[in-house]
Amino acid sequence: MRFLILLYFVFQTNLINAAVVKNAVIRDKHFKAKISQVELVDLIRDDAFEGKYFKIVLGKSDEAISFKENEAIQLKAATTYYHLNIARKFFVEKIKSEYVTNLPQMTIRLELTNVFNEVGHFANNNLDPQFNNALSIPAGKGYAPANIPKWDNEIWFRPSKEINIKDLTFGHDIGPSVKNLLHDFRNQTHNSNFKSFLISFLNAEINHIDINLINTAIRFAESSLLTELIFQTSDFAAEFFSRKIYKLDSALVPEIIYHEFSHIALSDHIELTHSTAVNEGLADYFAGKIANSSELATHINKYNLFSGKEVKNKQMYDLMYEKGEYANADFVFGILWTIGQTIGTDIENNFIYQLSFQVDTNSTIREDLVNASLETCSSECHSPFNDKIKLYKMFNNKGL
Amino acid sequence: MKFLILIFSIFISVSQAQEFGSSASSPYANHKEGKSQYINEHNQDEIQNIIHSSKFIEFNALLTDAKINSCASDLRLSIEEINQDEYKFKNIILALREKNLLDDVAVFLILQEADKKIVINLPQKSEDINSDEKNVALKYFRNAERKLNDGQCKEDIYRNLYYQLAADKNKFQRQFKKLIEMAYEENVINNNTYKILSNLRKYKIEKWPTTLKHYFENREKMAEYFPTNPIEYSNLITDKKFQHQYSLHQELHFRFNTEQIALMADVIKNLKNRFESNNITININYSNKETEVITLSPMERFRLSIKLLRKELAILNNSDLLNGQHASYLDIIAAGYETGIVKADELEALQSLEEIWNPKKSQKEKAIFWLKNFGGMATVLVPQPYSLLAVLAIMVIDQQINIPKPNPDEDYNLL
Repeated sequence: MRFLILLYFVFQTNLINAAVVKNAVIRDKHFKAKISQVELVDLIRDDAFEGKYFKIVLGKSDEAISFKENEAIQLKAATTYYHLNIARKFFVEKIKSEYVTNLPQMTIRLELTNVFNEVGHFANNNLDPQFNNALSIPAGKGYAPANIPKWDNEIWFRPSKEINIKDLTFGHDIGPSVKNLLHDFRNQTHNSNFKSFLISFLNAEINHIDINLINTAIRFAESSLLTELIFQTSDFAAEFFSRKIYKLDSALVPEIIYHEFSHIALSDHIELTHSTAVNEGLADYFAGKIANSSELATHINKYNLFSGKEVKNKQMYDLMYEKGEYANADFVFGILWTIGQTIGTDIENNFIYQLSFQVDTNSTIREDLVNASLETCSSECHSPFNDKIKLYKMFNNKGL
Repeated sequence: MKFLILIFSIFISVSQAQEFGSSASSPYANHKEGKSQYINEHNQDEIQNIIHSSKFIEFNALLTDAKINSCASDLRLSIEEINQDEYKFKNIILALREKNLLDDVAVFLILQEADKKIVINLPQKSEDINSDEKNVALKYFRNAERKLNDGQCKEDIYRNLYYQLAADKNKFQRQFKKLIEMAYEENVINNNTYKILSNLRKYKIEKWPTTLKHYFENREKMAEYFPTNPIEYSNLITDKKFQHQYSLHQELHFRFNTEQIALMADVIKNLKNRFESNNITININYSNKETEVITLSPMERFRLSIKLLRKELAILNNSDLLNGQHASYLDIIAAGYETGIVKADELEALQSLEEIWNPKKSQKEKAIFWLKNFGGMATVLVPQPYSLLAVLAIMVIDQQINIPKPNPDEDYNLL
C-alpha cells in the first residue's frame, strides 16, 4: 500500500528522483559572485532544465535547454533556474502569496534579443536587438490568424554585449556627468569672487591701494581660475579614471533574476505593461530581500546621492527623478527599504507586500506611495499611531 | 478593643496594598510616571527594608489621613513620630514612591519641606510704611492668624500671605520681615504665629514651585475632569533630561493648574486628530465660479498639522490663559499624557517630533560653521601660493553650509 502511495505521488508530481547538481553563479558570504555547484530542485526532467515551476529555454524555442548544451549556456540556465526557485520559495513561504503558489510553469528565455510585442509576442528579429538587460513580460492572447499561440508570463534574459560607455544614450536628456554636477558650483564661485573683487577694487579707489587689497584680489582671481580649470577638465578626468566598456550578463546576476521574478509575483495587481518608478522600486525591494543582503540598498543609497537624487536639496533635485527611467532603479527602492526599517524588520516584508496592493503601476511617489504606506500602517503596524509618526518623520527628512 | 480596631485597620490596609500598592487610597498615587528619578542603587536597600517593615503600613495610612495629607510639614511630623529616627525620612518617602503610593511630584513637594535650607538675605533698605499701607498689611496678617488657629497648613498660609502682600504693594515684599515684626508689635499675630512666620521666611518658602496642597487640589480636579484617564507608566515624563531641574511631569504641575493643563492637552488632541484624518482639503470660494478644492498630499497634511500646532500653541502662549507662563512643545505632550489623551506608548513618537519642532545643528554643521568663520580670517596669514588651497577649502565649506533655495518653478510642495 505504501509503495502504491509512493508511486502515485511520484507520478503525480513527475519529479525526478536523483538530485541534479550543476554549476551556477551564487553569492558568497561577502556578497561576491562565485561559481559553485548547486542542487536544482523540483526538476521534472533529468536531461534538461525543466522543472515543476520553471522551464528554461533558449531564444524563441519552446524546448527546455538540454544538459548537453555548451557550458556557458548551461551555466546561465542553471543560475536562472536555481535563483528563480529561491525567489519563488520566498514568495510562497515568507510572503504567503497565494498567487505565486498557484502560478503555472513559467517559461524563461535566455539569449533572446527580440523586442517584446504585445500582439506578436516576439517582434521582428531585425528590429532594434536588445542586449545587457532582462525583462518580465505579461501573458498574451496570441493572434490566431498569424499562428501566434497565446503565452503566459515570461522572463527574458538578453545576451551580454560589450558597449562603449561613449555610445550609451540617456533618452531625451543628457547623461549624468561630473561636469554637469560641477556646473552650479562653478557659477556660484565666479559670481561670489567677482562680487568680492569689485568690492575690494572700489575700496582701493577710495582708500588708496595697499598690499593687502592686492593680495585679496589675486586670491579671488586664482580661485576662479582654478575652479574653471577643474570644471573644463572634469569630464576628461572622469573618462580617464572611470571604466570605458559596459557589459551585463543579466542571467548570471542573482539579484536581476530575483528582480524579474518579483515583477511576476506582483503581476496579479501591478501590471507588467511598462516600467514605472513604483513597480521597478517594488521589484528592487523584494530582490534585495530575497538576496537577504543590504548591499543593494547601500549601493543604491550612494548612487541616489551621486546623481542628484537627494530630494532635500531642491536645487539639485528634479521631479523627473520620480518618473520615467530615472526613477526606475533607486528612488522608490530607497524609500521602501527605509520604510521597512522604520516600521520594524519583523513585519517589513509582509508590510511592503500589503502596500503593493494599495498602489498600481502608474502610482505617483509623493502622493500614492506615501499614502499607501500610511494606509498600510493602519492595518499592519504594531503601533499604528507611533509608526505613522515615524513614517511621517522619515518622509519629511527625505524632503518628500 | 483598641487592639482589635488596630488589627482590623492593618488588615484593611494590607488588602488594599495588595490590590495596587494601596494606591487607590493615596491622593498622590502614581498613575502616570515610570521609574522614579529619586530612586537609585544607593538607597534601594533601605527602601526595601522600609517596605518590608511593619511601620510601612502606618506610613501608608498617614497618606490617607485627610487632616494631614495636604500639608507637607504636618505629614513630615507625623511620619517622624512613627519613625522615631529608625529610617531616613527621605527613604521613607521613596519607599512610598517605590510602591506607587506617591509620584515624583508629591515626593519633591514633601522632600522640599524636609530639606528646606536657611537663606540669609542682605538687609533691605528700610522703606517707610504709612498708616494706610499699615492697615492693609495688618488685615492680611489678621487673616493669616485666623487660619493658623484653625489648624490650616502653615506653609500654605505663609505663601498666601506673602503673595497677597506682594500683589498689593511691591515694597511689602521687600519689607516682609519688618511687616511680621510690626504685626506682632501691634498684637495682630500672637507669639506662636510670629515664630512660625519668621521661621518660614528664613527658608524662603515663597520660592517653592508649589505646595502639596496645591498639588492635592490639582489631582482632585484632574480626576473629576478626566474620569476615564487610564493608569499607565512612562519613564519619559520622569526623566530630567528635558528640563534642567525637574522632570516634565513635575514641571507641568509646578507651572500650570488643571484648567491650563486641559487647555494645553486640547492642542495635542487636535494634532492627533489631524494626523488621523482621511484627507485635508483647501477650498477656494470664488465669487464668479465654482469652488476650487485642493487636496493636500500626505506630507502636506503632516506639515499643515505641525504648522497648525505651532499656531495654536502660539495663540495659547500669547493669551492670558496660561498666566504668562510659556508652554513648550514638550509641555503640551506632557499635558496630553497627563489627561489621558496621549497614551504612554505614543509619548516617545510624539516627543521625537521635537526634532522637527526645534531642529538642532549637527556637530558637523557646527564645526563647519566655525571652520568657515575662523578659517576665512586665517587665510590672510597663509603665504601667497598656499593661500589658494585654503581659499578653495573655504569655498567648499561655504558650498556645504549654504542650503540652496528651491527653484520657484520646481517647488512642488504646497506646504
